[in-house]
Amino acid sequence: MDRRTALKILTAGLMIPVVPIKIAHAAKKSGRRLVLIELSGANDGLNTVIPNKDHRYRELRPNIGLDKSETISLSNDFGLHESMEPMGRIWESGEMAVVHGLGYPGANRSHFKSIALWETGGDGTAAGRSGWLTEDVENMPGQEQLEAHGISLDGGMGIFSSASGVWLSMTSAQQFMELTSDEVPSMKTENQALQMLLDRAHTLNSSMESISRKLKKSYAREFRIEGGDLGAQFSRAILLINAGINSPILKVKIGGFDTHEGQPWRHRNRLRNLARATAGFSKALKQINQWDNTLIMTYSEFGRRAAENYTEGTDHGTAAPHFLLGGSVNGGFWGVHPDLGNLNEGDMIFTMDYRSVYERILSDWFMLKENKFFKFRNDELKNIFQNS
Amino acid sequence: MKFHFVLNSILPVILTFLLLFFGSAYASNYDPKVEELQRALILTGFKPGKADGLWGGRTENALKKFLDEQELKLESVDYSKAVQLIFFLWNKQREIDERNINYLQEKVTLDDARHLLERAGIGANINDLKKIIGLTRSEAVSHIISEIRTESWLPLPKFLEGPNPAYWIDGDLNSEEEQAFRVARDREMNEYRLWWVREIIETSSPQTERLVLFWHNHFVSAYSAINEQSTSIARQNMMFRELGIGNFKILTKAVIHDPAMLNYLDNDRSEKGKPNENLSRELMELFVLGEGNYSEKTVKEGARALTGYSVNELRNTSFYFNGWNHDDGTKTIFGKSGDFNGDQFVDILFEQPASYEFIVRKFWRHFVSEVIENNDEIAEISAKFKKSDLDIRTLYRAVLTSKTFWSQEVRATIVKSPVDFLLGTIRSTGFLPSDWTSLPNKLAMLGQNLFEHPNVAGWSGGQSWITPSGLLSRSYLAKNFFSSLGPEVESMVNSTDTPTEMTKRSISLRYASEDFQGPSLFEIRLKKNEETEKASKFEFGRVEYKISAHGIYTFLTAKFFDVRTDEITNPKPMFEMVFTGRLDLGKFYAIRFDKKSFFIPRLYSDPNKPGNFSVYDDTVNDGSFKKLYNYLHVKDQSLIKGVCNFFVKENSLNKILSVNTLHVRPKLQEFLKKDNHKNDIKALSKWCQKGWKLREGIIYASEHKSKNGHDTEKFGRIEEDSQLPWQTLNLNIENDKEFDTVEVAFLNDHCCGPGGSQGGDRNFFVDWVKVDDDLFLASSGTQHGNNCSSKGGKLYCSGWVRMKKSISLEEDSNRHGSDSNMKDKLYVERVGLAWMNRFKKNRDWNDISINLLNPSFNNIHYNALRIKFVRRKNDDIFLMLSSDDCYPDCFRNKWPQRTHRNNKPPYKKDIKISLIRRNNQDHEAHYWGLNKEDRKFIDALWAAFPQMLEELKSGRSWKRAVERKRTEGWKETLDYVLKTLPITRYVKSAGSNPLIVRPQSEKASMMAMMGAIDMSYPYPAGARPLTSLAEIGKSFEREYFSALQNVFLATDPVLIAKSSEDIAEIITDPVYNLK
Repeated sequence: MDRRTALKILTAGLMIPVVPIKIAHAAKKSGRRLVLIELSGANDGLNTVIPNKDHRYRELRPNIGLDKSETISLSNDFGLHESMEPMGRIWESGEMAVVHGLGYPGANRSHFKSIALWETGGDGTAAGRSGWLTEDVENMPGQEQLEAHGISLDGGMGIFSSASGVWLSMTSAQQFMELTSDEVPSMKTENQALQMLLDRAHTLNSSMESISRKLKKSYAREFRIEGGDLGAQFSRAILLINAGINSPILKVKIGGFDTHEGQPWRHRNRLRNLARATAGFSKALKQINQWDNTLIMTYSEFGRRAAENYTEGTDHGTAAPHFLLGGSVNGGFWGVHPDLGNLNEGDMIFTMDYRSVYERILSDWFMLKENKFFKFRNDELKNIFQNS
Repeated sequence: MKFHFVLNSILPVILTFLLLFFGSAYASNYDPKVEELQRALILTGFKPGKADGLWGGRTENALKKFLDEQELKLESVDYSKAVQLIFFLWNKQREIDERNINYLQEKVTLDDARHLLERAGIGANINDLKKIIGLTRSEAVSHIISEIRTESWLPLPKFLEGPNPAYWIDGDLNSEEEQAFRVARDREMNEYRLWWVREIIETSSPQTERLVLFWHNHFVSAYSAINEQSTSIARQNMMFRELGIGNFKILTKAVIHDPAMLNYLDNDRSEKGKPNENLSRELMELFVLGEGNYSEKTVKEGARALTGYSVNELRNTSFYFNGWNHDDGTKTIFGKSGDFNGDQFVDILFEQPASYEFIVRKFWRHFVSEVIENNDEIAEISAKFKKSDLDIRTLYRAVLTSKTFWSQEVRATIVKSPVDFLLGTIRSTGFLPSDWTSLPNKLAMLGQNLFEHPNVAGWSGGQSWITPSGLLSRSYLAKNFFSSLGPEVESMVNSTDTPTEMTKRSISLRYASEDFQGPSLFEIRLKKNEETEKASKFEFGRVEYKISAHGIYTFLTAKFFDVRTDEITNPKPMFEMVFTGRLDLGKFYAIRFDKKSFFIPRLYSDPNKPGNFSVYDDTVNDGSFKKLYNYLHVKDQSLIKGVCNFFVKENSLNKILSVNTLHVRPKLQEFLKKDNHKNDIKALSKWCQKGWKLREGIIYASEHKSKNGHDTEKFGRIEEDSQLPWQTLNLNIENDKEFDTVEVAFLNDHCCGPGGSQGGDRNFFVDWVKVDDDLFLASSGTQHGNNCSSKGGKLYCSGWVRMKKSISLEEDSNRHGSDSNMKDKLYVERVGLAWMNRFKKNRDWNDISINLLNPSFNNIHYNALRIKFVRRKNDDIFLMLSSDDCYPDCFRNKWPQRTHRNNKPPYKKDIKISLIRRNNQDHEAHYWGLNKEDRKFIDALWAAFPQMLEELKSGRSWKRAVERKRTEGWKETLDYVLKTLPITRYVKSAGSNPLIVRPQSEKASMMAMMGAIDMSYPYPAGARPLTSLAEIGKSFEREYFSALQNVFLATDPVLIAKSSEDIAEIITDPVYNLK
């Protein structure tokens, strides 16, 4: 393309009216969203959901094991760490599911590598290349406007890695007032790279404008959610949701779960913040009528070893339970707890592939029946969501 | 066809051959340099036979023929010079080939030159442009290719000079030591990252770095996924430079021997029976064949072939073929069957037709176009590449001389990577931003954190650079690229780094700042530890308390009356202060002084209440109390000291709270009933004490503003400490009073923006302070201040870090000197348990392996040594030393004649030395086969065994072994050894207790680290940085560059005016993102 032709194309392009570029989606229709909580550092599942009746639990953990009296009873067999009392109340209302024994074949014990697997839907034989839900969410059917496909409130973008789509990192609402994107004219050119660049700049600009506008309009209402930094992230999430910003995926993170030593107090502290922040978030969602179309899910790079170590902590392990919460979640236990009598070199053997949960979320929550985890579809999780 | 060139006439300089000719003796050993030479000769049509790396007659004749034809007479030669010459000829030959190709005979225009340089190099530097404009395109490509280097332009960072860090012993470190170890590695990684950025900016051969970047993103290994092995990742990067322009098969084989890669793809733990498939899969999917060109079955078979390809950490983290873990059974790979190993697996991969085209297509996408694929040309290039037996130079030249490469349709179609965008701009403009040390962070911000790829597939490039945050950051950085123009950058360029000799003392501080609504303010203080606080001279007779309330506020006033005056006649208190509380909060939160206490000028007052000042954590930490205190008269200072001391005491507290409350409002009564007040008042008084105690003993203090901080308001918090924008501040001061500690205080903490700390937060980080030759490390310092819970130098809150001298950088006394009492002693830096099994009587072999860090004995020194203590079932007890367990080689590789040798790779050798000599004849032969010094060394090892056992118990590995019950069952054996040793020849020779443990001197690593201090700024493309836009504009001589836009933009701009000549504006156009 010589300069003269380019010029022509560009001038012609300028005459096309400026219209916001639409992002295909369906989330608004159902209004459903997923909020992911990363428990960074690898949460110790055994001291989160405690197998109260299993004598082997206390044999494996003579020093850091929790006594039954230190747990909130969830059922005859299981208790929740007592510091998670606010989440215990959500359990009582039947809106919290515990999925037992999640893991994947070929466990990797590196924080870095294993969290990458969870975030891209990989396992010990192959890592994924893009976020586990990016492709499916970007291709959701429907035509209404979204501000973003996903927004990370902690700055971590691994789970959103994608070559396309509007996946935003928004560690502060302020950023959208501070950073300005270029206003670029909507134009057509034969240069595909330039076209892509301009389209993206344009989309981003409309997204940010829309977010800024909505935020400014509703900035007055402030939600204060307790629970440290996680609470602060949730406060911002509520701010976005309340402002009517449409993004089917939100992601938050709470760190500090790598409890190799001093676990009793460290872990308690982490879980307390997790529970307080999550319960606060849930309360705020109810206030603004968004609880029923929000699904909250926890994930973590791996579980920890069944037996405690000599420094009152636990080392890197394999399987762990995770939580699903929301007004449309059928609460209770799902799946099977790993057998503490049948350990593999000291590790619990996972009883469900974590991607089965992903599959349910994509197919039954977002109604994306033909998603990339189809082969992990698992009947054990049937009806984990109401009216799905 | 025969080509005849006389290189002497082509090369302006007569090449001199420096090294001695290798002689005519035919070497029987494989030499990679010989192979390189042979391959070069083959490619230029001289026939040295097979490229087998063996020096022989045919190779020699081919080389002679080459030399004769070029009329080069030489008596001596070195391989790399010879190879360079041959490739010079090769480029000329290619130019002949290209004579009939019209588009390659066109003269290079400015557009062409920029295109070629931006694609094959990094940015398009003015001098580089000048060099190729006017050449034919064919010659221009020769110019690019012939100047590809195989080593770096800059000298290597110092930390790579010595042996690798002791990764092999890090499992024994306790958590604090481990933390320090990791911090040191992160520091090295950062140093290397900045080193590479500097190399890219300065090098005369950006095409070399372009290729290194290409391989860095092809054979991906990420630092944080390989347990912080900074040295391995740096050496991998060097390998790409060394082999990146050679042969693709040789490079691929080097990669499967590369420690960083073996770690990254988990092959170092791959064993026979349970092979790890990662490396095998990626080798086929990402490195050689591409997806769809192999089966899952092949992945499994390949993984078997690769078993045993691992790393020996003890031997300087080098490649180790572990024959025991290698599966030597028959594998079937692409229809071939055999007991293949990893190298043979690679050979088979390159027999697959897909292998040529795969890498060709990747080159094509990288250098030519991500969108347009000319399949005919790709097939042609693949054929040439195949014919050259995978010569990367051939591939590269074929790609750069393709018709599509030079066509207009591919211009401005590749999205610049962050390296192109940022470092390219520096090379192109000749302007270096004054915050250049934070370039690695900026690259990370744009999505290209060097050595931290998002996953094994690397950065996918193209549109994946244009994520929302990538776009925002690009736009921000482009707009602010020249923001440090003017005085800032001028002072950088003009500064001389040599300190004046007149200065009495020099101070350097390494720090980083996370900014929020402005930079951090900090103070450096040198302090002399004073005697404990002298008793205050403040004396008074009586204190009177009064309580009152106003709205939600409550005031508890303390009036101090003078002891000497009659209060009846003079009822005016000499001093008054108020504890301020809030009913709704239920607590006292500040001490207030006002005009009844002493005069407070407006400058030092509470901003909202002139004449008043409140003391609480914030006003103490932000330094405003300090300022007021310094202003006050000594008399008033002692008043403050006196009352603050007074209210820390228990009975004063009791008194103040027994204040008469009968006549106050019920709400206030209720407030006063709370039992936390005593603690609150005490805490406030302590803050008040802190306020002035801070200033005690200070012999020097100066306040500074941080530079080049990371703006958290715009970009959010920094995820990992290793990405902090570290800066070094250098001061020369005239104060040479004695001092004991260094403090760095963070004066203007700010938390937070809307939504908590993630919404923006000002934080300050200290790494170290150097005062003259003494180093003060923040990591071993203590942090003070309100709620400052983190260790060392992370000032997330207002407060200060106090550091004691930890290391003297001056020459310390010779550690392994010839001091007579050091003779015959075994010095080690650390003893740790490597491995042990639970002792079982019926097991034939029970052992305890012990790690020794840097053992040294007279003139014998090892960086690493592992000795095995073994008890066999036949009751023979011995120490064993194996060739795998020494670094450098055991006994300088002079093994006793009867050494036990394994007949299987890795052909391990070992000797065993029995406790009781009569037990084993072989072992006796081992002992006596050693030379005298080594024998004495063995004596010392045995004699030190009881001490080692004691020593290793403090390490973490031992505790872990206890936990796993591995220490059980050994008592009887060990008791026997302890009892027997004294009567053995070992103790007789070495004495008992010859072991002396001396923890590692941090000096060496610190010295390397300190190298960063003196680091001068880099010269963009080798020239002094330009300091003004006018200077930059002037550098573009008009005869070459009719319009500046043509230098910087690959096509017409879309936002800015087409007539714009303003560089700062030109680089903000969206089109500037394309090359």
